Amino acid sequence: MSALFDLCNWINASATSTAIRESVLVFPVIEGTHLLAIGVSAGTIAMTDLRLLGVVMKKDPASKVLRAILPFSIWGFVVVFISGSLLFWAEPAKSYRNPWFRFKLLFLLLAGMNALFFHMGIYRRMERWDNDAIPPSKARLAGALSLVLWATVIWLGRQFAYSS
Amino acid sequence: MPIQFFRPFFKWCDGTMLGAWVRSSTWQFPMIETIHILALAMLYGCVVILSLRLMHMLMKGWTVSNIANEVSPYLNWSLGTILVSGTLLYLSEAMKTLDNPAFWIKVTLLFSAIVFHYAVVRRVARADEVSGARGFVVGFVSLVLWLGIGCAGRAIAFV
Repeated sequence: MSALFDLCNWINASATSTAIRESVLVFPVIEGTHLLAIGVSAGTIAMTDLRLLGVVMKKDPASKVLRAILPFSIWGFVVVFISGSLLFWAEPAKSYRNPWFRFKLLFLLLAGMNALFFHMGIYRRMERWDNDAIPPSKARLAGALSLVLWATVIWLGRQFAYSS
Repeated sequence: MPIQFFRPFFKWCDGTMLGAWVRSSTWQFPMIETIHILALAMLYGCVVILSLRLMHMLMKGWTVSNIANEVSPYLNWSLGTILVSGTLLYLSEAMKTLDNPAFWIKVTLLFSAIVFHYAVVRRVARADEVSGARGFVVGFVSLVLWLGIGCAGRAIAFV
């Protein structure tokens, strides 16, 4: 772990890290981008979760709804990830020590694993339940977990910002 | 109208019990802000889907009115949650926001976006299909207004 800490300190002392951290304009712009992209990504993910829970767009096949919306969630998340990485790059030493940040990464991983298991598992057998107004329990579980995990990631991110 | 006209009102807001409660420990502000952002995400999900559909950029297999009917309850509830949580955050630091241009830009955009949504978007989205240019303009204005509120909101903390 101390190698990781050394790496964080090295990034912290780098010219690019210092430049972002001390810039009056760049840091807020990256944060603003991060927030807007979270809105687009988490918001569209939430709509697909609600379809999996059998709450919205029940008359349309789940696969059709997911295929139409998920590209926006994924591209939104790419922007979230890049902007988030830049924010981390600007404050690695502060982030490393912060327990909220560590929990945020953990829940990000869990949210990612939930999505991965869903896509490798029941999503592949979608033709069997595509037209169900209320999808099978495994799909509903994936939707519910997704809602809870992403909300937790957002909550931990906010706590992180106020704790240091 | 000079901003100073609002000073007594902002001072009163700053002194309310609710404002004092939000300030009273380190937990309230981040928790309320979390609710604010979760509702923002839900709202953005609805706004992106509806606006891009009006712009003919996604879900072309659905009618505009169908999409509007599906997302509207979530859009309305998340907007309500945003307004309540945002008011609480505002009460806790009303005097700080008075001289902050980002706050005034945000309030102006918010007012415009709400009026535009209920007066224009909802009315236009009653149709099954909206012609190319008209749909594009309405969807684009809606998207820019709502995203602009998020930008201005973030800027409040930095100005």
